[in-house]
Amino acid sequence: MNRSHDHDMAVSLTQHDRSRRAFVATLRSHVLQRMAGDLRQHFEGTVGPEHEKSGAPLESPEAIHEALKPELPFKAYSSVRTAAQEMVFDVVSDAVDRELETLNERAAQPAKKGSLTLNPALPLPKSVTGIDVHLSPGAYHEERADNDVSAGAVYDNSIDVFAFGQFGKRHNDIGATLSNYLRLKFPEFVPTSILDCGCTIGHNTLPWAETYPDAEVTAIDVAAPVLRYAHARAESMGVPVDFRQMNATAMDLEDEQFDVVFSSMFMHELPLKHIQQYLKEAFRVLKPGGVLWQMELPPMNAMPLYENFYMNWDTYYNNEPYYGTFRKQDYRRLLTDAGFAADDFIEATMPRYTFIGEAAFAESIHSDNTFDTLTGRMDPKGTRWYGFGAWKR
Amino acid sequence: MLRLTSEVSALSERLYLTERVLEAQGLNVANEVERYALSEAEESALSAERQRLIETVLAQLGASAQGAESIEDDAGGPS
Repeated sequence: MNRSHDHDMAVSLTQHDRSRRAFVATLRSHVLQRMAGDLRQHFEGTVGPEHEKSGAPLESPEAIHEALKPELPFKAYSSVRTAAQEMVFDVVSDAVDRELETLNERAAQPAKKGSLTLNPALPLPKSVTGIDVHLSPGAYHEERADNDVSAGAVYDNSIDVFAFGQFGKRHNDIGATLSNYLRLKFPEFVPTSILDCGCTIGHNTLPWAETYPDAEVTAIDVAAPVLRYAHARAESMGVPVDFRQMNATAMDLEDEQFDVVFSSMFMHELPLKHIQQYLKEAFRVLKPGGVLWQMELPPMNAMPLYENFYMNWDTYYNNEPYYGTFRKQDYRRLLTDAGFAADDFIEATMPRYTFIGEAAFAESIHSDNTFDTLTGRMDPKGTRWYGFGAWKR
Repeated sequence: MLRLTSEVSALSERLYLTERVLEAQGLNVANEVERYALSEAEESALSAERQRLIETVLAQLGASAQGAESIEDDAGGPS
């Protein structure tokens, strides 16, 4: 029987599992490429020009959204994409449920390389408990048994289907891209302590330990099930990480403790007030000379109008209600408000490290940033991740 | 959707019967299916068929919705 992943927290997949997953992955790819393309063509060929001709051009992503809502290509795209998203969790859950008892036992084994520190008394924010983010039942935090890892296992398995391979073989391309960008762009900077905030299953944490093997890596999240899974996964992959249950908006960490504070796909899931609190905390725990460096969706002020409409779809239809508000922010201003200097702001659009390899990636870091249809979007044609942050001078 | 479900049910039952017939002939087909390692060509063929099915079904849904829209347009025409 096939295994879902090449680590000890993998589940066995029947032929039925594999067929169902392949179907939904193909469906998602179809929606995000073919149907998205049809939608864009409909806008550029019909809806946009009609509005221009009528003297009421569409000048904001919200206006484009309103204009497209009654249109068949948008209704088709939205309904199929939403159905496919729900199906992602549906088709991975059976395999997890079958082996959950074994997974929970495996995750409870004593640590050999890293560590896991949970805080059962930690209050979970409503932004986490009140929403099935990404339409995932129970999201990251639901506990179904003692020592439960099901949320982590579902997440790990769902990435295979959700991203149809676009996050890399070990789902770690974002972490690999951002860590190797720092290594190659700033070779004199050698961090000895790294913090990943909102780490979920640690898939983008481990690359930091691999890129900087002499560094101590700490990863935090508010949700215990994903942390248990992350720890067990990292242990089985032989990568030492100190996983802790903690809220990034109020970190139980010393001042000036880390050379790097990293996060990926984290801020757009937070209310603005929590983003501001998190960034202040990130500034506090960074050592002077350290860097905040995080992968996120590109800001609206850098992207073309239609791309902003298209990207913000998740705000309305994917249970990511803070997404649009985050993208509207001036990211440099967010960081200066947190204590960083404006001149120390850094940003980059980067090709995927694990897809193109060291040599091609090293060449790319000297290119100008590109903000287009491939920036921040999963696309077999060549996704570019967007990273931003600041040095703490 | 219910018609589709009935077809899925019928297909599942035929598959079940096929496996029982083959078992009676001495072949544990369920195990053999689980163990079968697809070649690259077979993976590609399956992938292409999946894509074809999705495109066909979604194209039909699109055609049906367009039909519904034109009926609404007609209903809203001059009295």
